[in-house]
Amino acid sequence: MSAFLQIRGLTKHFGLKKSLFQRERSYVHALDAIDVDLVQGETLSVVGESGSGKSTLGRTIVRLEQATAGSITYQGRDISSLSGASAREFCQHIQMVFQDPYASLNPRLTVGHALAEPMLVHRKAVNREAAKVAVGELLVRVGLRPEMAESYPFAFSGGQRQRIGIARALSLGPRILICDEAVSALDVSVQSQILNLFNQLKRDLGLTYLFITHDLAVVRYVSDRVMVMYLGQVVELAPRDAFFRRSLHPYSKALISAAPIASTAPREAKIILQGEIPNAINPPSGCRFHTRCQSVMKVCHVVAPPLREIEPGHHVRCHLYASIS
Amino acid sequence: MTANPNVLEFRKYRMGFKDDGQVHDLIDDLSFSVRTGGVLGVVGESGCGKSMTALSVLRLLPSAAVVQGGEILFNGENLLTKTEKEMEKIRGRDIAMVFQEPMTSLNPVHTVGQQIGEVLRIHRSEMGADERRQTIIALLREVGIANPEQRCDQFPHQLSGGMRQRVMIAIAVACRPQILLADEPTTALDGTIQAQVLALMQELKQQTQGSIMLITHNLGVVAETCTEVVIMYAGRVVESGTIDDIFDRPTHPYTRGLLTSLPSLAVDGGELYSIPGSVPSVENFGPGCRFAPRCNMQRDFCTLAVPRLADVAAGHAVACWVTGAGTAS
Repeated sequence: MSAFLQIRGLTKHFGLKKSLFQRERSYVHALDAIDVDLVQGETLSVVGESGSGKSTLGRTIVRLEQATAGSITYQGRDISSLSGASAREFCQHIQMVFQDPYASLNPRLTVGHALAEPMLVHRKAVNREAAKVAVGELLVRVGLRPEMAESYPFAFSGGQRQRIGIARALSLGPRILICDEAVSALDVSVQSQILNLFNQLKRDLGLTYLFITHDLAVVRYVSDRVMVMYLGQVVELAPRDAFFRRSLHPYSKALISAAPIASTAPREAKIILQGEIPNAINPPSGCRFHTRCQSVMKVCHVVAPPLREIEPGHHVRCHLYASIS
Repeated sequence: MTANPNVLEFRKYRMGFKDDGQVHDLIDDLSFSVRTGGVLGVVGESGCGKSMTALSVLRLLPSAAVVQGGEILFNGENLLTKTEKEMEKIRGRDIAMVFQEPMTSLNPVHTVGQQIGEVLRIHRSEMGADERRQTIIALLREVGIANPEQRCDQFPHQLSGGMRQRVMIAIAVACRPQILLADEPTTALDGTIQAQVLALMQELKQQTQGSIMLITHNLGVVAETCTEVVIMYAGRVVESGTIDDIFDRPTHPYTRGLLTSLPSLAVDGGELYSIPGSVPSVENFGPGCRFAPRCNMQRDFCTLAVPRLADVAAGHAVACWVTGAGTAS
């Protein structure tokens, strides 16, 4: 079975300005040879801290960034090198929901206008009248009222704006939705409303999600599978239950341990990592996590471990584990 | 100094905002205290007045704010009647604050050392330059910054987010304040760095015997760092108690709603509970109980009068007509 979305060797380096005395240009290694398949109908969460490359991954898939190397295949078709009309056709299939819905809405356009525009550009609606009807339906789908199309973004609360951001992403009838920290900026009482909305849309529309977040409680709630990134690499990829029951990579363990839990039940002592995420311009030699790892060995300083399958579907990039094959 | 059971105490404190000649009431009848040596969590969503509560203590409210009444007692003395000169002596020395965004609260054109030094220059003027530098370096080391001698002469942009927040904490604890006000100190930080900074704050509290008022929207952070909690909604305290009271015996419908709407690391989810509607803005506060329009237990009388915060058990207070021991205020 071929994957719905297949990512192979996806690499993105951002070139930095060369200074006067530098011989060679230096690069930020935002993504380094990412291999992952997205299965139709699943929710794959991408977890990591700032600088891990998780947002760049999302942005590269929707082609807001041009990949440096590697391929992205959607339903058997390589989409990483599309241009012109075929690129425009493709962007109907994968859409993105951003963290800050206010920053991604034009303050001078009514919500109805903003939502109608992509439908008119992509001929999803034949004229303004048809677009107006479609906008009304979209607003109802995301839990708003059709008459809200007449209002401007400032008139909405944070949660309502995120609903509009979701409506915009849905306006072209995408199959895959990439959600980049889509609930991180919301209040607790509103966050649960939006998470429920994502779940409902998945059921109703058969959407596939790539859910980028740093919040592990959210990950646990929404995901089928979890992918952990560190300095541009995948360090662990596992089914959700396996991940939370028995995460393998020392970084994943530290992430889970560090997440605060709203409960008074006693917990195991926290794993507190020393130091911070290193600079992605000169990532550490060997295993990129070795500078902060609690289980570091000699080999880790020198040899970069490959991503290996330890149990069926459970992959980890760490010298502590041997592969199943 | 006589041992005071409460280092900080709000008594019927009220404040609002001027807008077009009209004053909107934000904080209403706020009464709670921070126990000496305790860590009090003030929890609430955006717009509930939790940051204004902290700024009220330091008398650093924005110009549109109007203090309408009540008292804020620090060691038994009302801060609201102090002169600006007296406040200058207290700020940074006895009461210090750590803000959410360390990049915007540090001055980009001064070195880290100069900014920590400023507090010492003002409040420890007897200190000579050499001694001051040694103190700054010791403080940087204390907050866990490696190579403090070099870091001391660097500018904020040369530090990472986590290190900047450590510098903010170094500035705040430089004079060993009796109480540290921390407004969302870890919200802008990554998970593993948040754990480091929270551990550091706990450790410093132990060493300096101080108290902390931690303002946050993150119930997980509260459960793991605080001893007591105040839950605020739309400018009022709706519930207060110990950590166990709030997390094991939540009583106010808002507190219950917040806790059940959290996706949890421990529990698998079906549909998440969610509180309908959204947090009202200050112009739209209704009469009576301000939570009533979103409440799943609302009765007709809830919007008629304001429920007063009253004990349902020793130290556990709730302001609700239905679930609390509510009486009219």
